[in-house]
Amino acid sequence: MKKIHILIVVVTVFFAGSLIASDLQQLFRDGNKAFQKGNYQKAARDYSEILHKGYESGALYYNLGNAYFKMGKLGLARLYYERAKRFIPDDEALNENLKLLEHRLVDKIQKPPKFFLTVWWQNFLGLFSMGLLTYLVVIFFWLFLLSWAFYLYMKKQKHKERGKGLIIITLIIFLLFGITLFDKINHVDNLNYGVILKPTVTVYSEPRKEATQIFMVHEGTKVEILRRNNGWLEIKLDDGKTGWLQANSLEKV
Amino acid sequence: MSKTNRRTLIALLIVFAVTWVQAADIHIRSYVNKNVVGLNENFSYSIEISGKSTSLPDPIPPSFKDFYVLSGPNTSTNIQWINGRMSASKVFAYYLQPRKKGKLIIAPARVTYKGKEYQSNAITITVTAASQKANAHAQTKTPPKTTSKDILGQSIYLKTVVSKRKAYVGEEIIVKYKLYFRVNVRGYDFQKLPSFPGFWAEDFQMRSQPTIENEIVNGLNYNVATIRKVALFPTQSGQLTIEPVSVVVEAQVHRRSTSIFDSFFDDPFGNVVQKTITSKPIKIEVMDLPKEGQPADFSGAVGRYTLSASVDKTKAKTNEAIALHVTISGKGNIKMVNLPDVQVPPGIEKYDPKINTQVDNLGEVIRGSKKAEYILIPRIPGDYTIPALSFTYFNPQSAKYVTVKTKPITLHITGAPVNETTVATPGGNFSQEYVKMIGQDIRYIKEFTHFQRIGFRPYRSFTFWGFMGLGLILFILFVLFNDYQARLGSDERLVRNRKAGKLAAKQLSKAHEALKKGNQEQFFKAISAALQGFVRDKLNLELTDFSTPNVRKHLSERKIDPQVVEEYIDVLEEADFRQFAKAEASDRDLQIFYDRAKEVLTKLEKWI
Repeated sequence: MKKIHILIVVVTVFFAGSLIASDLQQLFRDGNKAFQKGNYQKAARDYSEILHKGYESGALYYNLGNAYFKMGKLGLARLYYERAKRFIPDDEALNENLKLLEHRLVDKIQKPPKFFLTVWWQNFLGLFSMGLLTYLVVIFFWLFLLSWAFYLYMKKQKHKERGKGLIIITLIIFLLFGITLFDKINHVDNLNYGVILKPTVTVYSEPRKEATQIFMVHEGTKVEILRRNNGWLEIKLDDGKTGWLQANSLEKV
Repeated sequence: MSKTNRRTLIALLIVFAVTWVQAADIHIRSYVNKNVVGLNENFSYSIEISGKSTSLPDPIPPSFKDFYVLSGPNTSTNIQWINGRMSASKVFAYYLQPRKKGKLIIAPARVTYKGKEYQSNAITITVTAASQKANAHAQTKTPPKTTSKDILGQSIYLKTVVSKRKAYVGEEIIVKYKLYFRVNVRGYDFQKLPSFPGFWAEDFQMRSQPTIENEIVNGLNYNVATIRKVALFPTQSGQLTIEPVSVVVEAQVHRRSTSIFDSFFDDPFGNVVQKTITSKPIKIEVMDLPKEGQPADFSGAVGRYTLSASVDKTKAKTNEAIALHVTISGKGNIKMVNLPDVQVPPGIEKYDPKINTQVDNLGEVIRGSKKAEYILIPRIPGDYTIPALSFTYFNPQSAKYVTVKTKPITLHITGAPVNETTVATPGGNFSQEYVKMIGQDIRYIKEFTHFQRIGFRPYRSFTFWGFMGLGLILFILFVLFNDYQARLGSDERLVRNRKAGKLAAKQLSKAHEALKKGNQEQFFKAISAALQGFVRDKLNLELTDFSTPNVRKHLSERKIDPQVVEEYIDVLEEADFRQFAKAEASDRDLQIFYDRAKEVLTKLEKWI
């Protein structure tokens, strides 16, 4: 009796899961079809529906960004592209679209030159998605343990030497990927970015309306969120300018 | 006179000059027209060089540090021939006015002639307090004198009229130089244009023929002409002095007849007399602008001004130029006025303005305007406001700061936003061309994907940590198992010992097979291997340690019957020997050897 119960539960969960999956895929396909016909509003609706159901993916965010781009809503397009970037950081099409979008934005922000090592490191980080990095970490952890086991198992001196080399190599690679993953988690999950969604937003020197107006930012500009205060956010632009703006003028990536 | 003649004359003169010069010595002296002068009187100082040469050198004048040099040096040269002897003199005349009271010394003038230096005499001038008549400016009270110059002195003088003697820094002071005269003035010329230290000077434009007015001074009717008018704007506070100015006047003097006959000789045009007349210095007290109530944006403008700002159009498309005019106009030193800065909202590009300053110096006071024309180019559509401009000036009449403001200007911009980025044009040659981008758009959507729950993070997943943990657990299990194996493996000797008999039996059966086949070499090799292997396994000996004496030693250590040991060595050596000996042995012989080896092994097994 008990066994049958477990079986029923397992089967239900399995089928439910696959049903949800096919349902999502259907929505995605519908959205793509609508996009192809030029009905971007419907495409955006379909894609958003998947998000409402609690599922996401890099391609979904990318397509949604494309739909908003076509509608001319550059702020929303930027927002979804930036979200897609967390999943598929090294996707060529995504990066190209983002570049094109940045050219169409009102704000042109001079990015300060970075130290070349930082650039290398960030390029290196960009090569791996988080999923890939977790796989690599697991694989190299296993390889490291295997080579250690090999070292222990082998009796002959010659084989032991070879095993020692393997241990060092796999350990280094494992640590490298481990650090990369750690840094990536830090970058993706702990850094707060937001995209301005209102056409023109005034940035103040203090979190109140009577404060000095420092500068203005426009729709689609990506800002770093430094802290929050009572409905106001302290933001930082890529070129280093900081100031306060009202929290409802941007959406977190 | 023909050209040749003139040349001859010049040549002759030079010859004469050279002749005379050799014999000549020169004299230098200096003299003044009076030794006692009032503080605001002037006097002439002359240096005379005389000699018998036509080429007299110029003297080096002393420094007139205690005097104002009103005019000079005025040079005159005089050459005389008397009874065939030439004498020449050169006079350098200066008009001086003392700067202070007391005994002033004019140092000697010097002249260098033919390598020799000559000095004139020093002159002492006694300067008294300003004389009454100089102060009054009208020298009518002086008794009439007979010389033309004196007559002129009474009837012509220069007066400096200032509009105020107390002014703020930057406030306009109008200075008029008025010539009072009762004689017929034929012309005048400024000897020295004063450089108004401490002031910014702006000359008024004067008519070439000044208008002449009448004025009665001390009961005498004078003609008055304003010959120069300057607007001065003090640039620093404190006591400032308007330095004196001197004018050389050319006047006709009618000599009053002193006798009946004189009138006959009167020149109908009178004597033409040149005279240098000098004004007196005037002190001006300049006050700092009041600090209290001074707005922060005050930039030093003094006077009365108006400010205006306008655009040529308030509605425009992006990339269409809009002209913004900002004008300040009014009375005052317009050249020193700074235009307020125009703040343009972002989204509109502002170019550096064209600034045009106009000064009107024809009227009573200096007035003018400063205009700036800004070109604005909107880049992003929207409604913009150019904030109100403000300008602060100090009004010296009311002694108050005044701020004038314009109204903010609203601009309505339509059209598409424009970025300044220019698309690089790709170059190409005649045979090849780069693929040209004719349009720009985003890349197409992605068709396939794999969804995951929002907020799912692979590094937080059970799979990730499960695999990591599994790996670790498997590794630990392996380590434990390997350790156990190793412990077993360390009892190798025991295993070897246990297996020794088995292995020896295996080798013996191999030998038996070889015996059947009649392969003698194989037979002896197997026997040898069986015997050797058995003892090595039993004694745990390496192959290198295996030698007859060594074996004998090890076996006797184990208290084995020496007879058995000898037998064993005997059989082993024979097996080794016969292995390589080509001597053919009969099957029976081999059978006996086999049995012998087997017997030895059985005996040995009992012992070890």
